[in-house]
This record gives sequence, structure tokens and C-alpha cells, in this order.
Amino acid sequence: MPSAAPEVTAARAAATVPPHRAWLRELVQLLFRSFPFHTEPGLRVFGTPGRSAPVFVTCNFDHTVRMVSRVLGRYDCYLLVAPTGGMNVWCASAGGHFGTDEVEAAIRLSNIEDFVDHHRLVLPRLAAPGVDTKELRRRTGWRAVFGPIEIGDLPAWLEGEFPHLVPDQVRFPARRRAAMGVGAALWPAGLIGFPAGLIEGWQTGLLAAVLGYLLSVLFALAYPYLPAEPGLRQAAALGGLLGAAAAGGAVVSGGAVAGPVFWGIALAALGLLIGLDFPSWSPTDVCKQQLLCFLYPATLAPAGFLPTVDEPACIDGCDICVRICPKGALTLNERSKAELIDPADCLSCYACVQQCPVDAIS
Amino acid sequence: MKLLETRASRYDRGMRLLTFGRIGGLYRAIAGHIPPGSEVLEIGCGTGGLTAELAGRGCRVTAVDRSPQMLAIAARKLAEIDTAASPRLLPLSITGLDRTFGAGAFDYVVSCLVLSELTATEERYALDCSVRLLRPGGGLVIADEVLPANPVRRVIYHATRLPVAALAYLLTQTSSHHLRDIDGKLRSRGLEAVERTTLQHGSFAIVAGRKPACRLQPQK
Repeated sequence: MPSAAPEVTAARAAATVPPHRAWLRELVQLLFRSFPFHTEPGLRVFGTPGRSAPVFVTCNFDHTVRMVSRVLGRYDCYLLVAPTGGMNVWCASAGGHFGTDEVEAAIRLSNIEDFVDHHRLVLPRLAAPGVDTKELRRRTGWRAVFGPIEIGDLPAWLEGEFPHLVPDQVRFPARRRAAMGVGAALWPAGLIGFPAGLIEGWQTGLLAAVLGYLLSVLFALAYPYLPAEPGLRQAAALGGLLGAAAAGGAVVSGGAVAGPVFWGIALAALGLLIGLDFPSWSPTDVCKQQLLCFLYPATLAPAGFLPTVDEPACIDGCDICVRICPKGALTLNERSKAELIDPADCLSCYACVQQCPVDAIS
Repeated sequence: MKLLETRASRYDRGMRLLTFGRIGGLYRAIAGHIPPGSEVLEIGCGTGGLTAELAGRGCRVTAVDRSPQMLAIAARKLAEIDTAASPRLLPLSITGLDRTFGAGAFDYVVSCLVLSELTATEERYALDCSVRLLRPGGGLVIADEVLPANPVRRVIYHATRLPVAALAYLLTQTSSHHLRDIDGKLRSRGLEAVERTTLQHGSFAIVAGRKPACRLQPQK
């Protein structure tokens, strides 16, 4: 430990949370995943770091800090928690809440300069849309490098490629899709379940809400295998199919006329809402869905933004944008200049624009 | 940018609504703590309501805010009023103050409804930094939400807090909390003559303190 012990804000307190409370916290944060959950920004200390110990940075979304802390707990290191309004890294960075200002704030609030002799920060990869590393260095003297996208890949990166920027792409495995399906279900289940309960009684409302959760998780699991492109057409098709199936089911089960109409409309609306909203939860489509992100809108890039490379300004053979793109949508062409391979792959996340060393992408 | 711009333009309307139209009176009360002609730093000026009030009293104001969208609205608002010295507006967050201004650069540092949006760590930094930026003898003025001292008003405050907080979140996309022992925090930073004025039925306080001036030692 350095001679002057740094002020630790929450790391040790978090370790003493009883298991049932930790489990409850996980559940609440999963059910209300679309809302920010703040944790105190500032310094976390893991192990007994020396003056050359690595310094990592993350957002102050409680869930993320706990995930990151589990991995960093194996090392002697420092973690700077930036004040990002309790938002996750990617939404905060693309929305202008995890940028150069917030990393500067993390440095100043933690007094990290008193504890290490180097000036190198490891930033989360998905902070690339927001953090201008050149400006950060000018303001603070700290050089920033980007780690891998997944915190689980951090140990391998530290042992192998650290501190170099490695190509990495977002993944959306089934387990995370299921979790996002639960988190995303709050709006459709609430928006349909609540009025359904007012119209047909609380049991019907509860049934509609449960159906909302079930359909959302099923949709999330099937998401990568669905035929239509994410968006209005996919949502309309899903709503139409569900509405027709529900109305048909109600007719077959012999209900009054009101039954098929009610369930037809309710399920069609559920399908439409789930189909419209879920792509904004998917890391493979997220920033394209700007119109649907009510709480965390992407604000750095205009809607539908596609990067344009200024070839004369682009440095021959520089592949920072190619590596930083979370979808692998850029490549170097035969003239060794950056080029967008397929506009459909671009998420409009702004990482390439922000990280270009000569501002050749706009 | 769309939503932030919308948010900034909605901010004034939201604040008027949340204070039941009394926000203008609060700005005047805060500005009343600062003598005309002072060199003032306003932290978190937002859409410039207090900035306009201070500039109108002849203060030389440097107003900072982290949101360029808020500053754009403040600039439009300030352009409409006739002041001797037009306020300097800078896009700057609190953690950028130290690298921008020298210690002791201001006669007064003022912030309104800023600390209540900060975390404990940020608040600590903001107060330390504000005191550093004050010249000896200068004043720090903090205006913000507080818990009413009167038990009945405290119950009313808690009862109305949730819907007001939800409304505030919808209108301004910010959440806030009441300040705790702000007077003590000013005193613990060495400020003297710390005084509190409460308004809005005890739920809003203006706390002012003075940084000790350098005094000549008496000659023997």
C-alpha cells in the first residue's frame, strides 16, 4: 500500500452485504434494469497495490462496478469510478455522460496521482464513443488505453496484449439475452398489464403482465435467429402474429365477443412493444434504435449517422478505428485507408470518430 | 443532442413549476448576499437565471456549467438584458475548475441547486475547490434543498418529496437530494460567520460563509 492510504469509498462495505440482501439487490436491479442505479464515484482499492499498480476506470452503474470488482479483486490494482449518472458504460458514453469530463472527474475525485508513479489509465472499451483521449492527456497528463469489451476477457488481455488495442466485437450470448429480456419486459408488461387490470380486473392485468415477461424473454432468446431485420417491420409482424393467435385462441375456447377482441389487442400491443423496444437493449443493434431510448438516448451522433472517412487526412495503415469498432464494420482498403465495409453493420456509436488520432472521420 | 436540448429548454419551465413560480424570488434572495461589483464565480449556472440577477446588480460574473446546451440558453437569456459587464460563460464541470482558475481568483463563489445533484465524493470536492478559488475575505454562498427543521414541515416535505422528485426527473432528467449539515461543512473548511437563511417553508436554504482574511499581526 502507498504510504498515504487512499480513501476507499465502498469496496469494503460492499463485501460485507449479507447474501440475501445481495441477491435482492441483484433482482431489483434486474427488474428495473432500464433505470440508473448509482454507486459512489471515487477510488476503489483491490489487494495491496504498489506505485506501479494498474489503474482501471469504469462507470458508476452499481451492477457494472460489482461485475468489474469481481474480476479486479484478483489483482493488486486501483479502480476509479467515474460519475456517469448511474448509467452503464456504453449508454453513458454514447449519450455524453461518460466522456473526457467524467474521466477527468474520476482522476481528480480519487487523488490517484498521489498513489501511483505512472500516468496510464485502462478505460472500458465501450467508453470509446465518449472519451477524447487526446483532450484527456492535454488536460490531465494521463494517457488512456482501452481494454477488451467484456470484463471477463480482461485477465487474458492483461497477460497477453496489454496495453495494446485489440480488435474486439460485441457479443450477445443466450444468458445475457435472457437477463435483458427480463429487464426489457418492464415497459411492455406495465403498459399493457396496468390498463388491462383496470379494464378486466387485477387477475387479467396480472396475467397480461406475466405474459409480457414470458414473451419478452422468449423474444430475447430467439432474437439472433429471427428472420426480419430488427425494427418496425419485425415488431409489426410479431404483434400481428401474437394478436391473431390470441384472438383465435379466445374464439376456440368459446369466450364472448369481447374476449377475442381484448386478448387480440392486448397481445398484438405486447408483441409490438417488445419488438420495437428490445433492439435498443441488444449490444448488436443498440445505438441504431435512438428513437426508442427514452432514458439513455445516444446524443453524440445524429440518428442514422454513418462515418465518412477523409482519405487524404487518414493516416496510411493506421487501424485504430478498425480495431475500436465494436461491430468490426470498418476495414483498411487497398490504399491502406479506413473504409466502412457495410453500412448495415454500423451502430452509429461514434467510437471511430472520437478515437481517430487525426480527426479524419466525421 | 435532441433530448438534451429539449431538456435544457424545459429546465426553466420545470423549475418554475417545481418552485410554484417562486424561482425568481429565490434568485433575487441569493443575489442579495453578494455586494454589487464583486468578482463572482457561479458554479452550475444552468440556464442563467441567477447569472442574470447577479449581472443585473453589477457583479462581474464568470458562470460555468457542464452542459453546453444549458449555456446556449443562458447566453440567449443574458443577451436580452442590459448589463455593465456581460457575464463570461464557460462549459466546465466542477472537476475542471482547478485547472482553469487560479487559487483566490474570486470575491464570491456561488452555486444554486448544484450540490443537491452531486454524490458525497463530488460534493466534498466541490466545496474544497470553491474554498480554494476564494480570495481571503471572500464569500461562499450555497443555495439548495435542505430538510426543514420544523417536525411538521419535515413530515410534509417527506410526503411531497416522492411526487416532486418524480416530476423533477420527468421534467429535467435529474434527481436530487437535500443537503445535510451544509453549515458544518462550511465551518469545517475554515469559513467564518456562517449564516443560514431558510425559504420555501424551510426546505430551501441559502448558506453563506466567509473565508478568513489575512490579518496583519499587531506591532509590539
